Amino acid sequence: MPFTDATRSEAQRLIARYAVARSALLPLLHLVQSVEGYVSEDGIGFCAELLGLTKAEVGAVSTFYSMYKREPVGDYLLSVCTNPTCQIAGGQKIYDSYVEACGGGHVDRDGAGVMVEHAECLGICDAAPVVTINYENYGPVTQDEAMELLAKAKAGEPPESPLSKHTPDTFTAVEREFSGIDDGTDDHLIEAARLQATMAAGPSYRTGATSIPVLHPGGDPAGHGGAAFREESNIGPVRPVTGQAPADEGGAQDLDQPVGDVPSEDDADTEER
Amino acid sequence: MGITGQASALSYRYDVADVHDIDVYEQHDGYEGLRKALGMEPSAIIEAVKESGLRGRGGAGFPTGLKWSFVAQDTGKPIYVVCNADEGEPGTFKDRSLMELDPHQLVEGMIVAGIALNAVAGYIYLRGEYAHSGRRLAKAIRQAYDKGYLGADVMGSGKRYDLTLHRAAGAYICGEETALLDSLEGRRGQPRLRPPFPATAGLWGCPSTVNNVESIAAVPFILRHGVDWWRQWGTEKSPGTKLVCISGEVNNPGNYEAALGTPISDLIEMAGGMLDGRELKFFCPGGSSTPLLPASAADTDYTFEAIQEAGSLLGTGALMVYSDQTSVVSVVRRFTEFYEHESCGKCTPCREGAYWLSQIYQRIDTGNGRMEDLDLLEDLCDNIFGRAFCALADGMVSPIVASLKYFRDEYVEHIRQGRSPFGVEPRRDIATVTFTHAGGYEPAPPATPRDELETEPTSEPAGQA
Repeated sequence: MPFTDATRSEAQRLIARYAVARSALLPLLHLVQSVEGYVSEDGIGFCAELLGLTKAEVGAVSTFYSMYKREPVGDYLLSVCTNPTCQIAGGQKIYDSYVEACGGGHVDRDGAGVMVEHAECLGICDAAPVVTINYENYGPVTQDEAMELLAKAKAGEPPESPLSKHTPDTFTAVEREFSGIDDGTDDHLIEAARLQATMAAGPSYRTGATSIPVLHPGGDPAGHGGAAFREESNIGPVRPVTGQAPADEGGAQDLDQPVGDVPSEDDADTEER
Repeated sequence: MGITGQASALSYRYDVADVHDIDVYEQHDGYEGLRKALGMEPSAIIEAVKESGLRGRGGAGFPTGLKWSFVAQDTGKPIYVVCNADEGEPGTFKDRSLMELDPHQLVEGMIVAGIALNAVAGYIYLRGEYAHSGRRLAKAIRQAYDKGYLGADVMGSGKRYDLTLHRAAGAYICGEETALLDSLEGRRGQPRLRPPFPATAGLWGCPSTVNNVESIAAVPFILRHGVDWWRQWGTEKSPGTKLVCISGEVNNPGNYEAALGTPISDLIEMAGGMLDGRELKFFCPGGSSTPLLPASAADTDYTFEAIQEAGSLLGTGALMVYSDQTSVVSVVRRFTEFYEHESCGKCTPCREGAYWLSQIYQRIDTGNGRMEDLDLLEDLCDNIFGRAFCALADGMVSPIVASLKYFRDEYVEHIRQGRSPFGVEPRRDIATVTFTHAGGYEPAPPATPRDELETEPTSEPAGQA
């Protein structure tokens, strides 16, 4: 599915919430999953383009985190905790049965479409053993109850969680929630990010005592992600490329010039690769 | 020592219906701590937190006030408050309850921390899987903005402070504070070299502090009730209360707020005692990363210093309890597999070590262990502990070293018999919520010493060891 203009503008709002654009990458990847049902090749390109990163950089991040899926999930993701507290209560057996019920794999495309996974500690050990459907918790569950949860999820009718009193939304809806786009505090956060990014000595792109310049094609040294961020946030011209790391204490001074009156030619230079 | 036993401070609103809604929260002393903070000098707030002796609740137990006092105030850069809500330590579920039941408590704490540190903004880095916590926090933050507790003019003080809920995406290592910062900057969550410490160069190179949910939530209480109130509980070095997550083989696993200094055996009683009257065999006092302790240590007081003296750590306050029917080998094997899965891959001892340790455990647990594996485990652990980039690897070897220290006999029996000793359950396939036995145990087959039979060539990391 191609990314629509509406998604693109939502993505730009997410980016504008952070003083340094790249910080929006995790929320953006959740947004990608809300559209694609997983982190697709297109989705990686979408994030890379918006943030002025390479696809390799985005891919490196998306494969690091377990919640970003590399194949379509279907409507429901069932996670079974198999850490010791849940394991001694039967978590491992539940997971093994789930895999068996999915024909030895971990996805079942019939019906609503489900993916099963074994999870590391889900942080709800008082309800061991725990199964989650799209991150809503169920527990303690017996083996039979667990199998019933799977059957209901496959039928597209997962029950209400007895713990949160929420009925799980579909995977894409939940991922949209996780992106934070509907949190309702955008206006405040965008204004705050604008103020921080335009401070005389503002946030830098990269932290750490390294003098290796961190520049990105399409981006700028302050990591404002190129034109998209500037347009959306009214940030104005950003600091020109100097070839120096914005990070270490000494180097930072060189870059931390007032940004208000940077000539537009410099700005154009930033755009060139 | 102050008062011990069950306490009610941070959890005192847990039972109030709908306290996650700002109106109800305000009726129950909500935002009173913030009001108090706005009437104080920022340095006085830090001083009060210092005097309270509040120690970080995220695992390391570093004094919160001291941490705040390190934040560089004179760089001209913005200052950030980051809340570590990436609760992932196996056995830990205190922050989840706090955020789900009383989210405004954390929001208020974040604003107070912001005032104390002259910060421009705060970020709550929430564990991605915590959907319900996220929902409650997002609503709480929205309501706090609407009521003027956040935003351009915090309660008419003229100060601007913003709060972002940043949902992560599932990586245990992001609970390490510098890995968290990298993740918050949109990178792989891998720890950073220190110095510089976050206090001078944290989020986006700006002075920052990273504090656990429980630490931050405690501050408004301390300001409102005073240092003496906080110090009525616990000891000189470990004052206050602690949210203790008690799980495993107890009758009523759950979150309990207890004064620090309460003996561990009392905590187990608080959780209804051992399940079905089983006998305590071992426990992890503060999560899977803390060295497990045998039943004989159950009288230890639950304080940072006493547990350290007993050879372990208080960690996150996750007390995981296991009975005499549970195999220590199986439990530690699963812990090790957890760290193998969660090692971020940045440094060799952890990345490769986790893999080898895990393989050795699989070998032992499935009946193919060899006696020399025990020495090999110890040797590998010795090569990993203190030699990795961050504390994850230390946490990985802690349960292994401790279990070998206290339960070497069981390891030996497990290897000799090729299975758990009689009466000890491997518990990898027992599905029942009540933990009842799935039938009696067959006596183990006649023991065939594995070490004598062992001929199969292995690819053990002998070169490394």
